Amino acid sequence: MTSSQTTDPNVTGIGTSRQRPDAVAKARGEFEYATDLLEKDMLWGATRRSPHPYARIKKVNLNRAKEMPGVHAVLGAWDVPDNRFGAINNDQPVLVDDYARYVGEPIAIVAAEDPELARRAANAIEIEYEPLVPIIDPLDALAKGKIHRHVKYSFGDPTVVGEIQVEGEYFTARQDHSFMAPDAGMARPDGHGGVEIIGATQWVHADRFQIAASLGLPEEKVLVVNSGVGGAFGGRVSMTWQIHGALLAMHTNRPVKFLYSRKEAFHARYHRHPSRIWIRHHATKEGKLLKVEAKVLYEGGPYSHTSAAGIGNGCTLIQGPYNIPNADIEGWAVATNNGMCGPLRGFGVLQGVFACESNLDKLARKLNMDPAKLRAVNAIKRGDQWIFRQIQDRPTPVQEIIEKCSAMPLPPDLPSDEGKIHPVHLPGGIASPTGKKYIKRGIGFTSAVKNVCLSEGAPVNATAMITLRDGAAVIECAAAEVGQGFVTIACQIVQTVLGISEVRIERVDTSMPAAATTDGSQQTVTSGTAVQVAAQTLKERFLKFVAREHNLDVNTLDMKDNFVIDKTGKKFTSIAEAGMGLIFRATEKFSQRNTRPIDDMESNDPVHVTLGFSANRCVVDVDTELGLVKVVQMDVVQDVGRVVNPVQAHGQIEGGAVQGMGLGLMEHLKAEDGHLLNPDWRGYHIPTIVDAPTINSEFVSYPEPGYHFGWKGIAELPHVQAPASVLAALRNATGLELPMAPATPEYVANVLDDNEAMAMNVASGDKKRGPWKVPPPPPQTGPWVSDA
Amino acid sequence: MSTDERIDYTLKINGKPYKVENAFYSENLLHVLRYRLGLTGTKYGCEHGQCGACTVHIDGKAVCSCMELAACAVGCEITTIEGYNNQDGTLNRLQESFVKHAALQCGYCTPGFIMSAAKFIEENPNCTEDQVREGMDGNLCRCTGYNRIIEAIKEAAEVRK
Amino acid sequence: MIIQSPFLAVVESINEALDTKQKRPSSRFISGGTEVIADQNLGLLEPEGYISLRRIKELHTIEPKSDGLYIGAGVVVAQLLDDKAMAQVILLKKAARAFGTRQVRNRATVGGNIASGLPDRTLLPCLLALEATVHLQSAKGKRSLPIKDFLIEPGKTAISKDEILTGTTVPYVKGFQEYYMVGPRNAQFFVTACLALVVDEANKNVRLGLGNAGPTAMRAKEAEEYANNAIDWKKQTVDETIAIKFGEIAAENCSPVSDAAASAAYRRHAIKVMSKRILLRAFERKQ
Ligand SMILES: Cc1cc2nc3c(=O)[nH]c(=O)nc-3n(C[C@H](O)[C@H](O)[C@H](O)COP(=O)(O)OP(=O)(O)OC[C@H]3O[C@@H](n4cnc5c(N)ncnc54)[C@H](O)[C@@H]3O)c2cc1C
Ligand code: FES
Ligand code: FES
Repeated sequence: MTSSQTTDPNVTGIGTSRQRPDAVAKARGEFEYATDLLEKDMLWGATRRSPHPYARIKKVNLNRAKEMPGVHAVLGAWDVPDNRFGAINNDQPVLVDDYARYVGEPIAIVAAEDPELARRAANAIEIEYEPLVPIIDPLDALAKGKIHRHVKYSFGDPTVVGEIQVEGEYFTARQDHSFMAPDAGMARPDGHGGVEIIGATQWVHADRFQIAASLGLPEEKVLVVNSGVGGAFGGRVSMTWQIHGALLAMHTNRPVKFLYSRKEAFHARYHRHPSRIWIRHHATKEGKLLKVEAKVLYEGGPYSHTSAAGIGNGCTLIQGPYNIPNADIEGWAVATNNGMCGPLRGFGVLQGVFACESNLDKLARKLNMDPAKLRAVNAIKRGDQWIFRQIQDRPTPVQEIIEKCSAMPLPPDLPSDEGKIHPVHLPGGIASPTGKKYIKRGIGFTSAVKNVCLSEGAPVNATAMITLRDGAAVIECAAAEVGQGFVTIACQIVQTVLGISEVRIERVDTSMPAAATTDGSQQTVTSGTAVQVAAQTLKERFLKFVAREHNLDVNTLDMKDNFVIDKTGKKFTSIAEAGMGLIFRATEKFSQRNTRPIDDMESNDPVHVTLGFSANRCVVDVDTELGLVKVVQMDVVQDVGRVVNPVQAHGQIEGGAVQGMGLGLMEHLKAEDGHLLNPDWRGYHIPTIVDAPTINSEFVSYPEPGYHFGWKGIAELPHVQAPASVLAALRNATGLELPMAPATPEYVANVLDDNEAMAMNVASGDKKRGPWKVPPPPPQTGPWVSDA
Repeated sequence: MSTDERIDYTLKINGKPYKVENAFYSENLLHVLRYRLGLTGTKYGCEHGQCGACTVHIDGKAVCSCMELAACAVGCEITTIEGYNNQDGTLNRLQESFVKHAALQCGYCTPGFIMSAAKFIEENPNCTEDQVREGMDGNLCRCTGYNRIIEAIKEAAEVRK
Repeated sequence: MIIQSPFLAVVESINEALDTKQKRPSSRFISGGTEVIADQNLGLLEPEGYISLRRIKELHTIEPKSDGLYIGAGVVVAQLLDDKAMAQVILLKKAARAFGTRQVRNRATVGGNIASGLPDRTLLPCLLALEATVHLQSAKGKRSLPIKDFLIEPGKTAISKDEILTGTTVPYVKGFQEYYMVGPRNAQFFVTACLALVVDEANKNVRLGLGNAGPTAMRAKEAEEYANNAIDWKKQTVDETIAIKFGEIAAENCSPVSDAAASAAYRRHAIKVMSKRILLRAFERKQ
């Protein structure tokens, strides 16, 4: 990045780097997050969780906890009016009644006067378990038919055989969101038989729907308010404490606060689906891709949650941003007892892109071809058809992105004088045993595709309301701000449309009409478009009023720089005055185009609303003997449509790239026999300021049709492709296959003896089959025999 | 449970005395600041020393309040972000630099970064990027990718020339 | 005493501390708290009372003495980096730079690091290589013992329940000193494996301390013995084959564990490679 990329509180409108409206409060520690909520008379909630990955609950005795002084409520499964909920299917207990299916699954909840009492009371609950044998290996789950979704389709002529074939099996680990603010919030009785939930979420309306159903209340009796959100990255799609809080608040008639410890959050959260993907590319000798075959296995949790959408994303976008005329794809999301899985930035796509890009690396090596060139040659173009039958009908600057990224300047080599190298630049950091002579530089190149918006028939729409009075506007739109900057962007949109500078956005709650979920990089293109359409309508209404009041032709009027102007740009009167103290308002709903499920052969709707593209070149320094790595630089070029706020867009790329690098190098939430091995930040490592590379990002921007301002979703792509890019660079430096993300030092150093390799499980729980030991699958059947 | 586990004491925070009553002896300073005293500017991230979101100054040193027994801080000068802030509601140079460089997104890590950077800059005026990386190793950020945080701290340190 | 309550005492002298401990044996000493309170918050220990040693002034001194540098148990790691006297024990200064985080260095004490006795603690391999002495005190009196006899098994040391660790004496050694570590990322603790090498020029020997290479921090005795004989002390050189062998012997004789952070095989490998490199570095500097 360059230092010229700074924000300014005074610039307005689309295309400027306007400062976040919450920046000052955040810098002063005055911005209120869910963890910060306090209320007079509030009680503290605590949760008793299953210590077993799979067990029958024989008996739960709450009495000892109930008798403790300072304890106001102790509730179990039978206290939940409707004890099944879920993001899509209602298959998940709010509190376990018959079987506990993962370690950390909630069984009972407590409200007490302070957190220590609540914790002790939760511990005092007596539970008898009959432990059962858990399914910890996704292959076992597949064999036993524990399948959340099976996807199977082909395209073109699936029997085509290429002159050149490369295949491989690739793995990605269970990644945690590790957002900074753990799950927390407040549930409060509303005094009229209903309940208010104030917490951190990505979609207030989806939460309300689930909470109300579980409580047996109409939705009107539940108000969900989004508080300040300390990071989300997909994790706050999944509810954790919310229904529990609501139950306790209604039972005690007092506000109840929940605050998870980091360790508890690790157990309660839904992580990225670990993946195991077999893929084979067929190509001509010149490197033209002819066919892709893949078997895609995602490990979901014991309950379906969003696994079906995840495997759908993976089974389509495993194609990568390439034109491939033939395909044969099959995939499964299976149920294990290793903990819940759900959305995480780049949901379902990251894994597929990792496999695709890793295998293309192999192809490039086999063809002795420059990896960027291989990708450029196969770049998908406007008008091409995707393997999932969708026509790529929007701007498709894939080749341009690849070429632009390749042309970015490379970082200089480490100085030859060792004394001049600061240890933060060394693989291993301070006190690293490395030195210049042990270090090899590697360069990796990848490109990627990500769907923008929810796909496969999920309705994607948003409603926004805007009110204008005295020349200032207020936006009400229930799109959750989680740090990504929608609050800035919404204001900038209204500034541009209404030509005013003073715009504010209200806090989000379910009393507003629904907006889109902060998911799938879709807030700008969906809720942002709703804001734009509402602003447009408001503008028409306002100008009609002004025209009538002043006897002018409405068609000659416009709004700019806080003035009503005429065609020549002459200022007529200030917008504030022209409004005469009246209130102008507009509410509009915007819906994205319809999509269809992959296997719906009838419909000609697209599977994905739209797709975004990027390229990433990663430079690493590697101590190949010890497997220590310093990511030196990542250069990212991304197709961003029209940029609303350049600094925020760069910020998304930088943050996403480092988060993706985390999965590429170190982030692996391990499970053994269904128990998480490293559920805290001592054991689960995210990148520090020393690990973070320099990131240079550039945009390619073609207005996206279908949206007035031509914008595009951007937030996930940088994360989606970073692991593939880091691994490509590591392969370049080491010459190893490195089929698994993360590539921890022992993988990079290739030190894996038999016994230890077993402890180094790949997909969690899959102990017996390290990637280095898996024989390539027989070509006809793929790696698994499905009984689905 | 024994009532003996509860104690009363007074902490000196941002120059003012704060009475803490009937608290468990084992409560850490982060918890007491946030939930007993309502000083929620200091953030709760991990409670095991990794993230630095809870950084405060005790007798002039940047430390993690989550690993400090609150009662052990009796008699110490404790400064939290609330006390470090300009009292007129404006931003100081370091904070301004964070805002200007977009060194915050969700902002949850920010108060901790500000508190540790304040001490870091004091001890390393005119620091280089490398020094910032080494010296700010105690704060995690999940949103920004750190590049902008480094810029912000470097510039704030320069301004002091 | 600053605080005296049934479960928490903040004491101001060693005697107060020992007194309190006698009255409440289940209370735990706590210095910086960076291990104990973090563990408590993680639910890894249920406290039964604390005795805070932080306000004991006499534990905070760093003092050059005739038999070495005396470092009080209450000295924090940041002091190891900053204190002028530390120039005489360069190894600890180097290790301190790689220790934890800025905030942790301001709080973590030398005493807490030694007393924990855990195999991955930064200072232990250094103190082993420097042949430091640790000083203990109880109501019954004082005793001192070499650090190697202090470490017994993971988390278990020679310290008895009623004893306080008051400090350590680190002999001055003339010659090369260096600390190396590998970890899962490039900053913040998490020693996958580490080691410290001291070249004692006067006595013509090398001493190698290993961290996270066995149940406790340990000396690589066999490797040292090999090197002491193999090194050409006159020319002050080591050729690559000697260094390789040195590393191999060190690796053969350690017994690291596998855990979520790394496999035993990798730890062993890292010890091998780091030992080789550190010996080469020690003697390459000479030329
Ligand atoms: C983020 C983070 C990073 C860390 N990085 C490192 C690192 O790089 N290297 C490393 O080695 N460790 C590291 N640690 C662990 C820990 O900080 C150190 O081991 C530290 O030195 C412990 O010192 P303390 O004073 O905080 O110990 P405390 O937590 O106060 O005590 C530790 C143990 O020692 C006992 N004890 C303390 N003082 C005495 C005494 N005087 N007499 C008898 N017993 C005593 C206590 O009873 C307890 O059992 C890290 C911890 C955290 C949270
Ligand atoms: S909350 Fe204290 S370091 Fe994370
Ligand atoms: S801005 Fe979100 S964690 Fe740093």
